[in-house]
Order: sequence, then structure tokens, then C-alpha cells
Amino acid sequence: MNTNNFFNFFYNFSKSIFFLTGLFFLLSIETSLIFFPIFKTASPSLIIITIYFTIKKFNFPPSNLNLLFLGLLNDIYFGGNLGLSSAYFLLIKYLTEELSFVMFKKYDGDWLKFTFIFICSFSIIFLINILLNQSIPDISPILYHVGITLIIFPILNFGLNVTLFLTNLIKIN
Amino acid sequence: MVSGKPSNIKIKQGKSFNLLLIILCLVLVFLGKFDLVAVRNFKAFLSDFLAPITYAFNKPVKEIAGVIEEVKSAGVLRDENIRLKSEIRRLKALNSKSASNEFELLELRELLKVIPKNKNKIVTGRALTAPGGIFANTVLINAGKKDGIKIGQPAISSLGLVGHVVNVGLNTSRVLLIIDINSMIPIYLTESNWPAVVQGQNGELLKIKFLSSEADLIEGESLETSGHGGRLPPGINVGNVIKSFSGKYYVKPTVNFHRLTYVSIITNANLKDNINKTFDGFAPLQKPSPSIGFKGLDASGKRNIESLQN
Repeated sequence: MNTNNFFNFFYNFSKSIFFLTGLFFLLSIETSLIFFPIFKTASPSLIIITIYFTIKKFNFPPSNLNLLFLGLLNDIYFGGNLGLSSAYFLLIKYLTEELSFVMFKKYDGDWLKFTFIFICSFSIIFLINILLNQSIPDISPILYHVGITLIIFPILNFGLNVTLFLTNLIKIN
Repeated sequence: MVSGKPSNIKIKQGKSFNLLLIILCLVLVFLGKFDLVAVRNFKAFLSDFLAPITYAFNKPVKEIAGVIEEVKSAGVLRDENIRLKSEIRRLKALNSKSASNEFELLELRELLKVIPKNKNKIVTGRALTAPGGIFANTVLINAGKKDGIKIGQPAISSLGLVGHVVNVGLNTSRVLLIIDINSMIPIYLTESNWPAVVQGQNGELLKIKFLSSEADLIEGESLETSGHGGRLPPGINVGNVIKSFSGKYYVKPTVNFHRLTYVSIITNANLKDNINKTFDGFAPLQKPSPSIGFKGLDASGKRNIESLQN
């Protein structure tokens, strides 16, 4: 029994570490995208899309502590207010698990659900940021960030659906 | 026993834990605003620790982006060559003019017994991260406490002011860029000679604040640091005035933050004391009288195309 518990704990722990490393890798890619001329104004939020996919598509919600650490890493990486990104990621997780089931029960498509969740949580974090800085920032990079994330989401969703379909097809054969 | 599906109680506990963590994070955000030494040190330590990883991740993407830019620029090489040739001619003329001006300036300084300016001590580091995200615009450089860098010291590039140091680790420092919303720089307008403050907006342009209502802005005129407050040395190029579609004036920084590779930190230890000793307040200067330029150049040193064609 004890051995089982130990291995269970070890399995969950290694899974979390692997997941955190993966998300951190994605975070680095997201940051580096800014060097491309198309993302000069702002880069899309790949992390948010990934968190949404892991919950809705793979039924593998990231742990709260994982998101907390990832957010802290993100803030250190960008030099932002410590804790703001963690709150953002946790809020995305909370809204994805709660709101999408309550408000869009009959709707099957992911894009509307994601748009609602993303805009809701982003608006909350944006308002907190305004409160902290006591100044309204330039709106154009923010609109670009929101827009490009919402444009990229269906592309990634389609790509993922095709991949899942093909893997299922291979499995059946 | 390894359980299959999580029970309802576990799910509820997970959700309350999620909400509790969100509240804790928000508390942390507001605590962070007090700029606690422990938080600052923790951030500096982690920045030091993550610096090599960050650099390794950024390097390939930066290289790919560089290749794309080079391929793009290859198409306009001919035009670029013509433009550069005319630029060289213009700069040669300006160079000889500035050499004679510099000699004259030295003679006048000697006559007036002007106290010589302190030479800036500069430490240069490589930018390790991209210039930032949506809510923060900072850059991490690979020079820190051991190189003599301290919080508040100004950061420059070959083109002008980049920002100032906000956090220092042993081997790395974080520079708050002038485009960040938390950055406010005292400046003066070099042609109309009015003092003002420029504030970042987390975008590409800077907002002009505290400018006198009497001030008449000229589109394209450059801005330099005024040295007010003693935090930044005077005379560092900040940007140029541009007019938006709505008729409002903004400042476009001279530095391209997306192409930032090296950042230099002015590490004069007692910069604030030195400036306060010699600073006697700021008054708008008189407009310089138009001077006779070289043939083919106007008073501001720009190429006069009409005279060249004749």
C-alpha cells in the first residue's frame, strides 16, 4: 500500500514537473515571437490557448500549483508585477471549468467559449493593471494581442482536431 | 488504492483552492507594489538563475527573425545603396562642419572657464530577453552588481535612451524601458527649448506631459533628457515629436526596442550629487539665430536638393 502511494505520488509529481517544463518552454517561444515583424506590436497568448486545450480537449487540467509557479516564472521573465500572471492563469482555469459549462451548455463550438473566457479574464487582469499603474496604457497593442490570440485559436484548434482524427484513424487500422 | 474519477468533494475542494490562490496572488500583486526588499531580492535571484535558459530559448527565434529580415532587405539593396551613398556625402559635410564647431566650442569653454563635464563610466551588456509583454516592458541584461551596476542608473544604446535599471542581481540587471507605462523621463525640446516629461504607454509611442500651454511643438524636433531630478544625465537623445491623425503630439523613441542587442549602463556612482552641484534650474533658451551653412546644406545641416540640382 505504502509503495503504491509512493509511486502514485512520484508519478503525479513527475507529471506536474513535466507539464510545468513544457509550459515554460511554450512561454519562452511566446516571448521570442516578438522578434518576428508580424508580432512586433504584441504576441499571441499561446499559454492561455494551451491551458484551455488541456482542460477541454485532453481532460487533463493543470494543477493550481503548477499554474501558480508558471505565473510567477512569467512575471520574473517579463519583469511584471509578481502574482498578476498567476492570477490570470488561475482565473482562466476557473472560468474554463465553471463558466463554459454553465453558460454554453448547448453550444458545441470552442471558439465562442474561448472568446468569452479569454476576454472576461483578460478584462479583469487589465483593470487590476490599470488600478496598479493608475494610468491607462496604449490600447492598440492590447487589442492586437486579443485579436491575434482569437485569430490563432481556431487555426490551432483545427490543427489539433486533424491530428487527433488522424491518430484515431491510425489506431483503428 | 489508485482512484479512478475524482469525487465531488475533491472537485469542490479543488475549486475553492483555485479561488483561494487567485485571492493570494492578487494580495501578492498589491504587496509587490510596495517594492519590498525581500521581493526584489527574490526576483533578482531568479532572474540570475533563469538568464542562461532565457538566452538559449531566445537565440534560435532571434536568428530566424534575423534571416527573414535579411531576405526582406535583399530586395531593396539597390535603393538602399543609393540612399547610403547620398547619406555618406551628407555626413562628410556635416563632419567637417562639426569638427570646426567643436574646436570653437573648446576655445569658448576655455575663455568662459566652464567646469568640465564628468566623463561617463559605461558598462555594456547583452540583452537576454525580448523587450516585454503586454503589461510590462523590461529587458534583462547580462551585467549586474559585480560590474558596478546599481538601481536607478540610466541605460542607453548607440541611438539614445533605453531606460533605467530597476532591479540588479549578481550577474544580471533588469532595465525598465522608456516605453513602459511606469517610466517618466524629464526632457526638453531641442528646438523650441521647452521642458516637459515623457511617459511610456506600453506601446510604441510616448506621451508628452507637463508641457507649458505656451509651448509650440514642431513636428520632427528631437527631445533630449533635461537632467531634472538628477537621476539621468542631461543631453541623451530620447526621440522625435510626431503628430497623430487626431492632431495630438507624441514622441517616437529613437531606439528600436525590438532590435535591441546591446545595452550600456552609465555607472557613475554619484551621478545625482554631481548634477545637483552644477544644476541651477532650467529656463527656456533663446532660439538660435540662423547661421550660414555649407553650400548645398541648409542651416540645420540638411541637404538642400534644389541647390544641388542647379
